[in-house]
Amino acid sequence: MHIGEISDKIEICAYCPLMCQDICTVFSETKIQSRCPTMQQYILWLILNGREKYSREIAEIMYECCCGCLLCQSWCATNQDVPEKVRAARKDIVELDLAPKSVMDLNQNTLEFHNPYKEPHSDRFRDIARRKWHRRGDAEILYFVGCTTAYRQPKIADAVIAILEHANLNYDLMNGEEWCCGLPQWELGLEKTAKTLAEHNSTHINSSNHKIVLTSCPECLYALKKVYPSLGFPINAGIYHVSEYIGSLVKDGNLALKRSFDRTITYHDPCYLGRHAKVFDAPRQVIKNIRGIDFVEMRWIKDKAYCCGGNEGFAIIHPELSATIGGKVIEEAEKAGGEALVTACPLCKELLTKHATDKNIELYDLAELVEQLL
Amino acid sequence: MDKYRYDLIHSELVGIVGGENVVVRDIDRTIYSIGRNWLARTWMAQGIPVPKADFVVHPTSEVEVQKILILANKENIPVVPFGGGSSGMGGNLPFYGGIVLDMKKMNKIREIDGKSLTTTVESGVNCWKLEDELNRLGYTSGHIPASFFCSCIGGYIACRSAGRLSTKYGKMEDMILALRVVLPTGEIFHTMPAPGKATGPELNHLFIGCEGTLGVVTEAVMKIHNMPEERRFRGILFPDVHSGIEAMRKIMQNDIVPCLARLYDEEETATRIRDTWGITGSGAFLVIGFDGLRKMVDLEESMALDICKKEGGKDLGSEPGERWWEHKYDDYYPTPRSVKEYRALLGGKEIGATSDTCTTYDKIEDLYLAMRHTFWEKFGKKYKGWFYGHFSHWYKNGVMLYPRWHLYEVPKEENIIEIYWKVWSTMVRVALEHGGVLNHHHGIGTVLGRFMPEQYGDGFQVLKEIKRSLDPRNILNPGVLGLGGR
Repeated sequence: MHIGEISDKIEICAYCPLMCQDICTVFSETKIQSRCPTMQQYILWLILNGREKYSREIAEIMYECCCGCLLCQSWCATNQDVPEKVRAARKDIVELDLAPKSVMDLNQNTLEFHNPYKEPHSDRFRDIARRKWHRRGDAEILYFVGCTTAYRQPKIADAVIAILEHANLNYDLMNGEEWCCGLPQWELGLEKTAKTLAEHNSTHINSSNHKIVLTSCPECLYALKKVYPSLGFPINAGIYHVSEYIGSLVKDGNLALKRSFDRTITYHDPCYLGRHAKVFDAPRQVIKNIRGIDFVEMRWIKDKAYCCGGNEGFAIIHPELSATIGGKVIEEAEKAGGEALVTACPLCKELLTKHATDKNIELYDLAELVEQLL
Repeated sequence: MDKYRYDLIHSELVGIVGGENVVVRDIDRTIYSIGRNWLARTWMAQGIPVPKADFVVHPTSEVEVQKILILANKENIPVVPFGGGSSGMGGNLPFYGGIVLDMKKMNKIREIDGKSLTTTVESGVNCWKLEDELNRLGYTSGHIPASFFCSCIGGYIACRSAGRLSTKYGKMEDMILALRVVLPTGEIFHTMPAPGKATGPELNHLFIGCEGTLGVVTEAVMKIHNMPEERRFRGILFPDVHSGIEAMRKIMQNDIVPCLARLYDEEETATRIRDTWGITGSGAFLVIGFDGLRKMVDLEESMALDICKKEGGKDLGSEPGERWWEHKYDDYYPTPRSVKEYRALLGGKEIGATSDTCTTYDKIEDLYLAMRHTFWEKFGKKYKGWFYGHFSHWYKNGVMLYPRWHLYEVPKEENIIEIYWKVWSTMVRVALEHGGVLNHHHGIGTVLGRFMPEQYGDGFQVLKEIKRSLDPRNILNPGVLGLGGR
């Protein structure tokens, strides 16, 4: 999709009297007018009307102005999808060969290493191989680990596998055939690469008989469930986030959380699990089943929850800005009285760790916490 | 600005605020030079270059603001203080280049004092974020304007802002206890946060409404309020505007204080109120609200309803009022339906504006009728358009009129910008002739600055002399408030 195909949608934001300016995650940090949704879309309006041309300067703004969190939409009376419009601009920018070097480096790394982190593909499951797996080739469940879990938060994968083992379920991993889900590339306008990844992953998943694909990363969930069909590569299986699956195991009495956890817990909604995939209640239900806890909500939750620092692509190309954004989530957790903060996303955990440590708040991925309580 | 001087000043600015807080990208400077001003957007749409600032600078402390103003004064370069960027009156546009001083990184809430009911904030604090923090602790600022989600306290102070609840909680001039201000020559001015004083003129008011021409506000002590135990709204339908105004006058003059009251004229009731809130019926729609202790709300609401009924008002119950409050911002968001109008307006093909004004009860109806009549006779019939208005921000002695006008058939061969200025001049002069003021709460900016001598007569000299004394080189927001450009 190019901006010319959605000019009517761009106009709506460009004419808006800045109604989501201080809602915007990136603007709240940068405070630069061109980063707010209205004015970034006004720049696109100028391009559409021949008053500006794409340039390196505009490309830099388009890659910095949106972290894909979709918080603006939750406050918008007309439900505008700003990230969609920014993605269209980024796609134009990539095709015009104006994308910043950091974006093209990420693209090259993905093509070469099958992950955006430039980590060796052979090491993808290295850190989660310590546990003894009972994988089965004909398993009903496929666990799609994802790049951030595999390379940055392997303990989350450990925990997911431990839970699957504990529940005595048949599961498998894609092993060497699991490539990046493609969401970072899709968000950054690298649609050709996103399609390559979608085609590869969907071909391998669909060639097996898995009925369920589990992801511990909400971005992987969104990619497999929503983006792949839009790129022409649907997955022929049910796709669920681990929190949804654990929730159903707990609800059906197939997974007992035996141990008590005596903490005041609050929950952070990851953007891609919450606002994008609309999974709000499943993680909360799991947490509420934990004995000994005192569950408190933060002030802004569910579709209005603050963002931890943006999606993976944004976090890789703007590491400093992304790392700063999450401070607000931890401040909110502290104000709510949370001793422990639970999230359900490896990237949230990665980006929030330093802030949580600074405030002496325990930080868990939901799977990690559940594993401890089995 | 020549390259040598540009590099020198850039280097000085980077030395003051750090490289990350000096923005020089061309497209960024363009964006800061347009804002929400119709004229600047029309120029852009027509390919006419807009005057741009040379630098956009984000100070993070009062000391940095001080150093920037000392530098600007020494180098004789203009400085335009900038808040949330919501001004449509051209009050924050860098017509003479220089520095746009974006205050939004000075956004600390320094203190919330629940005992004295005050908060001390830096001027770049966003209004919604302040209100959110106050609400969390059980307080409210009482300031809920339409620009809630983008504007900041400094901008509100600069423009004497009024929010939706101003009838009870007041305008910005009623909300400020003390200010800290950096003067154009770099000195720090501050007042004491005492609720009353007899120490000469109220100097806070020199800077509340100065639109950045006399100093840069860095910090304010604001009054806050306990969150009301009860807040509720009702809809009333009057046979006409006259009966609605009379009811509200009697409510206010009986010391019954609604937190909100908006009386829409027959035209606005039949169009905007119907289309946005689904409220049907002919006449003038009033949404009225009360908040505070439940018993007080019960009493005030009941007494107000009695007055409304006596003046012919039909009580529509709480549902339309609550719906209005819940969706109070909805029609600010462009929709696929309204985008055509915006396209024509911001593309420079149609014109429209709001000529808000305020006067006393003895004049308000004549003023309203005169503005409406003049618009239709001079412009509305010729160019086709619409005119409607509502009365909000009520006082014991008078009320604000918010007339909105729009022309949508301006022939291509006519210069639309000229017509724009002509309508503005006509509407403003009708207001002045009928006892109204230039503006109630948007500020004067560059759009209306030229009328300041007409409103004040010889008295305008007082403001000019104050400006000359405080800002001898005219560096702060030149061209605004009719104080002269460079």
